[in-house]
Amino acid sequence: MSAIADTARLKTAPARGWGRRAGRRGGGGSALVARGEPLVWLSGGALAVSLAMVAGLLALIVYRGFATFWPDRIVRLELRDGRAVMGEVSADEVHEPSPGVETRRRQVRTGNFELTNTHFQWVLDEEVAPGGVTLPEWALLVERVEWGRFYGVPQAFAVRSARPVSGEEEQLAETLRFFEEGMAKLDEADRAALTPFVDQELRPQLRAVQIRAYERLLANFGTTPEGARLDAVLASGRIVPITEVPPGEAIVEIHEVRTGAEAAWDRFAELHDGVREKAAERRRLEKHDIGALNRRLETARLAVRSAEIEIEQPLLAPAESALRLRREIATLQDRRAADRRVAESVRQRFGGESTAARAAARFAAEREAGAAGQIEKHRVELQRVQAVLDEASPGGPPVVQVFWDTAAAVAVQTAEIQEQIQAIRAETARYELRLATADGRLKALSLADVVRAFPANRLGWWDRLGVYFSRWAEFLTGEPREANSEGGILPAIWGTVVMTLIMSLAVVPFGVLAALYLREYAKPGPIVSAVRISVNNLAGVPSIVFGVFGLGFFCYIIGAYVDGGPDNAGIVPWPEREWFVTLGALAAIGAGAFLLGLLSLAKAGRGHSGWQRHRGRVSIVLWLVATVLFVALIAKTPFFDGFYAANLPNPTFGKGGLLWASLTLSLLTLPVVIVATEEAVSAVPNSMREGSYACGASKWQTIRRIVLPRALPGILTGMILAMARGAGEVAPLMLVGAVKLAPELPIDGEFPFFHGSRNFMHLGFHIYDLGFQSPNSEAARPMVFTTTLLLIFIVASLNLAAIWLRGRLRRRFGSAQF
Amino acid sequence: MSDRNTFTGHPRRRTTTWRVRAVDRVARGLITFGGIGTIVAVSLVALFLAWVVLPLFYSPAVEMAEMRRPAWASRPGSRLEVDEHRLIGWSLSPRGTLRVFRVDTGETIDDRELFPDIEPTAIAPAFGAPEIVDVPQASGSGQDHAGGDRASRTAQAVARPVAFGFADGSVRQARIAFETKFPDFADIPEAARRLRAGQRMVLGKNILELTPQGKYRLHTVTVDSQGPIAIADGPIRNLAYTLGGGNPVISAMTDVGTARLAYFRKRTDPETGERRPVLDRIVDLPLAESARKPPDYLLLNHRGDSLFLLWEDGRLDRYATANPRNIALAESLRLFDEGDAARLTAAGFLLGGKTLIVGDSRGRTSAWFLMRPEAGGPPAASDGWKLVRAHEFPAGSAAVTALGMSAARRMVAAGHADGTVSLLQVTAEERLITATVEAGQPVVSVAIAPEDDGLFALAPSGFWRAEIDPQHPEASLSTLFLPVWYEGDPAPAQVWQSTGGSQDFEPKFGLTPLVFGTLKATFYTMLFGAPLALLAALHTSEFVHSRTRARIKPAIEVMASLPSVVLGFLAIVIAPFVRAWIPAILSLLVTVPAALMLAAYVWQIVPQRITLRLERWRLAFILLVLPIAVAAAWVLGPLIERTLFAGDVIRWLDGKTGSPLGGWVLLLLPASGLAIAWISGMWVRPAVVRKGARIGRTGFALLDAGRFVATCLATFASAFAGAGLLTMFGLDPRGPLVGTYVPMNSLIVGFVMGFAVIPIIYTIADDALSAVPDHLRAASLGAGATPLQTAVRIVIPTAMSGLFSALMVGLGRAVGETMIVLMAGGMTAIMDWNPFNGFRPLSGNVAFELPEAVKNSTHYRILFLAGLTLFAMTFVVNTVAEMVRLRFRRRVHHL
Repeated sequence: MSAIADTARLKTAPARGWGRRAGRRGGGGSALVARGEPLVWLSGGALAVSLAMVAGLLALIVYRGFATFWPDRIVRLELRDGRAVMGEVSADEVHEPSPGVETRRRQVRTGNFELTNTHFQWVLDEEVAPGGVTLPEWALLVERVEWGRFYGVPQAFAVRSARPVSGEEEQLAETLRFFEEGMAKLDEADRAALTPFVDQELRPQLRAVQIRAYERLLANFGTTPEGARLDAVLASGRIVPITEVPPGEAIVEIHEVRTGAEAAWDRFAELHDGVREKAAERRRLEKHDIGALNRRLETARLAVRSAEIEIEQPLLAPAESALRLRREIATLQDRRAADRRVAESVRQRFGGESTAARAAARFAAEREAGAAGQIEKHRVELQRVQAVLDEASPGGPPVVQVFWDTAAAVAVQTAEIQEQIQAIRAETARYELRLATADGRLKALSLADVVRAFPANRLGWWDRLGVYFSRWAEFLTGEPREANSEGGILPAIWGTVVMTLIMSLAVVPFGVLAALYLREYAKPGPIVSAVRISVNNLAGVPSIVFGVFGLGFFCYIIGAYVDGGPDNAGIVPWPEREWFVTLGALAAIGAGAFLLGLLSLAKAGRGHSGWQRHRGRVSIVLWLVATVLFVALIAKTPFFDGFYAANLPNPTFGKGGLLWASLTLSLLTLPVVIVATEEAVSAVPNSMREGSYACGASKWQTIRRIVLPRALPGILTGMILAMARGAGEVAPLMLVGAVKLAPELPIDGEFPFFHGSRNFMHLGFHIYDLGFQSPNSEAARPMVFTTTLLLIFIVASLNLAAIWLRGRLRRRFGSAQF
Repeated sequence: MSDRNTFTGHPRRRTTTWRVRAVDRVARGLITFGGIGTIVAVSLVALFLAWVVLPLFYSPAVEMAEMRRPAWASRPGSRLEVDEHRLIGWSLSPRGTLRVFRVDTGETIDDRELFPDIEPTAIAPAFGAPEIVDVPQASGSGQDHAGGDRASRTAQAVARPVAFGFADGSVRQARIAFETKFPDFADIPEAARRLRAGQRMVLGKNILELTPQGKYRLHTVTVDSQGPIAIADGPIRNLAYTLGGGNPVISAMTDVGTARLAYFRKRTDPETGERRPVLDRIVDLPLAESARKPPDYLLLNHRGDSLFLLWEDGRLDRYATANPRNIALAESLRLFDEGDAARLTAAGFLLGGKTLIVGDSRGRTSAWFLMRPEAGGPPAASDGWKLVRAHEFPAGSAAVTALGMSAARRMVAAGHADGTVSLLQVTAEERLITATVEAGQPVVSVAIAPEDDGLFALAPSGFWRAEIDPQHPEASLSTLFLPVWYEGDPAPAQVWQSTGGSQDFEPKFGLTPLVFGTLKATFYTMLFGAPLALLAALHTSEFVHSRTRARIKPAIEVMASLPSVVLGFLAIVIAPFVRAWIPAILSLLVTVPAALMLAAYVWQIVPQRITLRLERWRLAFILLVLPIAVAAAWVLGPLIERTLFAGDVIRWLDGKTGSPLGGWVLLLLPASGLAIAWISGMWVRPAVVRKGARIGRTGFALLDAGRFVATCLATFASAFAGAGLLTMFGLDPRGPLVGTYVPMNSLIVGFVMGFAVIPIIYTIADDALSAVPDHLRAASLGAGATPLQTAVRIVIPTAMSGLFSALMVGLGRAVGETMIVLMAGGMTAIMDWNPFNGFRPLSGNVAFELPEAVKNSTHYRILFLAGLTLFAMTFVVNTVAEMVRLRFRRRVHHL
């Protein structure tokens, strides 16, 4: 530090004196020219431009990134041609439709995609009618789960109540259905006999039951809630106030409607949170629970497939065939039971001797006979299939039994969850908000589809801040929606963090090992400097090259090998006996070389005979060769069939995934760690090492107790720099596993908790995908800025930490490196 | 040892405990082996890339060939086809008998007369890749063995459309299809349940296979033929058939010498509601005099817009048939040179139906295609096209008797009269494989397996099959880096176009445009970034107080930590603004340096008392000048646009409006600026200095400022003069130097990539400059040199090699940068230096295409080659930089 300060003093002081003297002499011309002020200013200009570029870029990203979630006012523009546009103004600029003609135009985010097929609309100033720009008080901005935003003025809020269906009604309806199906098959005479029964008895009875139910329903809604209107939806589809329902009319639903913007908004605000919670529960069921069940079934299926590969006899195909046959038999039996039930109920209701009962019995019998034939056929097939399975292992292989049990259990549970989902769906679908768009069209939004809604023009500063932070919270903790252009980016943050951590776990030990070897153990010479130069150069090799390597080596060779053994990776295995013999020989040579190396390396540096001096080097070379050959031989094993052979041809590890992405990036950042560690290790003064040796410490003791602690900040700096580089890198990730949308997180609560083979989302890739490939780039852009802000924040804070650490390190050891 | 005298006089125990020694050795061993192992593992990256690339240059091989002599013989003119799994095949005799057989044994599965009551007189298969047809999931005819009523789960068919002509003048279209089904296990007969994975067996008229994935797959050949359509008025002698992309065309010639064309159009079938071809019209072909003798071959190209009549003596007539209302003889030529007595013995269309392959009696094969001649080339035929011989293969051993086309690549198999077959790659003009089927017997028919992994032939005595590995015939050093004559092009060209919309697309792997793209991106980046970074580093290390420097340096290094994807996004964001403000942005290149210089001259005029005091805030003043320069550009830009570029630069660049004057002025400005500055420095300035010795500092400063303004004016004047001169000669920069403006262009990439390159060059250059020992500076300053003189004459020469290495490292980064060029480069693989146009660099191309490339395909390996090229380029550049830097470090150390 002080040396630099001295230089600065040296630099400025003489110049000043020199200038003054020149001025005094009066020969200002040559002195002025010699000072070359224009050139100095030009170089200063270059610096200023560079600084302005950084500042401008950061300012742009910070401004746009922070501004994204700020709720704007909703503007309504009346146009001269009578149309109206409503939404947030997203751009306001001077436009030149033809040279010399300038006009102002506004880009309005109009939303309502399903109605207009566009998210944005440009409005020229001269299109706007005079005085046509207003801020409608109750204009509502609705963020939805699907279709993007909606802008509209609330008209009404409706709660639907469907008419409950009684058991009797259900039974009658079933009977009617049964007869209607059966009558098509009857001959003319029978149909003529039966038609009066269906038309004059069955239908009126059903209708009577239904009307009783309407009346009960009407009685329940006897009084109108305060401020609301009750509407009835008639069977004809007509909607009338409940007081005007014609007597004897069938009512399907009753709507409790609150009209007026304020009343509707109040009711919405009151009910929305509850409905959202239910909708979230439904999504959890749909995504998580059903997904878990499907995975369970898939696991059982794969187990059968594995067993099949092992015993080399068909298992999966017969097992699946048997499962299907059983299901078909069960369905047929269910249908038979239902038919019997209907026939029985007809007999009870209309008497055993009635035409109807006889017809019903006949129908049921006919259908029963058909079903019985089918069942019998399936049974025979089932037996044949079962025989194949029994042959594979007597009594049926246990995996197959497990597969069948799992399939049965999963079917039952899936049905249960589906029922729950249906119930929630029915419950949440009862609430709807009716909005009028700018051009007067009415649209009803289901509350479950609304993520967030607020009357933008009524919000005070404080409320808007609330919306702003709630949007940030959703962004940081939510899942993406709408092709990633809405919602949150939690999976991307999570993916980035997990990948970076695994990468640093892999890179630091090896980087430190290599650096320690280069600085402490290797004898300086041309080879070591060549190695050092190459390692430095690897830092300059384009990241995409590492991506190419990662895809070709990790995914397509190592991954394919893990999946399905050598064959799957395109490696030709060796014959068994030769393989064993060579493997043993190589293992012996490798171990011998290692031991020899241990023995001779410890004595390096002392005077020995020629052979002893070379022994160490020879043993290292021998060990390297043996190790490489050993690895190659392992790759050619004839015994390994892969861990995921059952899933083939679908790759498990043989494609991009988190593990391979982390390893690729650790290869990419290895030079960073090696260089930083080397620098830190060599910054430890030799005097300290010598002091340690003088005290009688061994080399390892010196390294462990003296060098490493001193170098630790430097190593940490290297690690942080590597993490920063890894977090910001995108190009290699495009090849080894980053995806637009990963349905599952790489680490979750499911065994084995870490899923290295899964694809993952990544902040940088998210920016690339959204900024470059989004179908709706206009609407996605603000999100890209926010994601960029987040990524820069992460990378910059990692870098700043490294710079700070490096500064501390330098100050502590006072050694400036170039 | 123990009885040596010690310093203290006391004997010391000198042995180290065994544990410390053991730990030390183990640690040494682990670190040594681990360290070396790590380094070796890393160095394997390049080796692995090379290992993947190497098979590109392997030569093709025949892995297994065998002759099967079943009890059936093939008649001349039979046609042969094999399915993609090489399991089942069919051969169609000229009499309309379809024989279905098992490929590995040659065993006949089924033998059927396609038309039992009438015998075809002509057969014409449609050329090109077979159609993929979804089979309706009803109970198929192939299910009869099991008697099941259950539809198979999935069904798909690969169909070959064939047209048949009959003696009554009618034509029938048929599809002979390979159908695969996945039957349910319950439907599989007892006998088949003993199959092992990978085994197959004949089951009725099908082949059942248990795939290695444990699924049962049933292979069948089905024929779906349509009703007769009366076309001709006599027995059909020759027939040509093409699908024409959904609108089939059939041409028929009769024995009596009349020819007709039947056009089909896709119509919605009123009964089924599906769209299918319906006969649209039948047109008489106005035959020329030359066609009095019926032709020996009749062929229609893929779109049905050209009908070829070929005679054995090598005559060829081409009729333009695109418009049914206006059919005419387009051109008439000879396939053989004058005096060549060869006879035409085989003809057919290559995959895609565009290239005509003909074989002759001397064993030669040549490829002809239609191209649109460029201006100045050979004259076009009356329809604007011209048939040219693009590729020719040297004579084989005997006359060509059969041709078989690959369904995936531009390969042809030719069978010869002496019983040999050869495999040819057309575009690369390579003979890949030659093999013998049955010596002495002419080859009746040849076929290439759909996956290009097998070669099949029919000889009179039997059926021959071979497993082949054609490797990557379309890639060789010359096809990768030199111009190649692709189908339909007027001349050989260097093109990169790896994927196309249709199945018969021919990938074009010319790496040169990509290498060019990389160089172009690097050039524009360095043009913008290098001077800026070097000057900035010079200023920071020489003209700024060390405390300021300590703040500035990290600020610029922040730029280095910006992820490149962010910069790529920045490019996308600024692109529309750049397009809207392009004149102002181009003027910035002039106004910023000019404003800075002007400000410096104004600074000189200010009395020295004040400037000396203000000097430490000089950078702040410089920063203040920037907005002024921007404002000036903003005003000037539209002005320049109006006066020089006819009011609209973008339209001007398109070449639509304005004179070339404006462009020349802009292009000549830097050169004339340098020239005038040099003249001014050599002669004017010394004169001014001599004069100025008498007029005092302020007066001189004024004079100097005047000189600068004069220099500027002279620069503009000379640029205008030069531009006027060039314009007078009729030269236009639009075309070779500048051209059409596209939104994502090199200008933007150069600017944005500057963000990536500047901090790297800046940091290394600044390190190098400040590593120059201070005693050199002190000596120079002490001897009376100004800081600038010290910087230019002492510091820069000393640090020269360091600066060079900074530039090289920056270059390396620019070469390998991926995301920015991918997002902002436009990704168009064209070769021009136009800064307003895009490019496609190696790195971006790899990132864009590798995820879609099929493992171990030619495309995949070529992308690996691109990666290896990048690796080599950056490794060399960086190694040079590192060596220079080390040398510099040593030199500085000695100073």
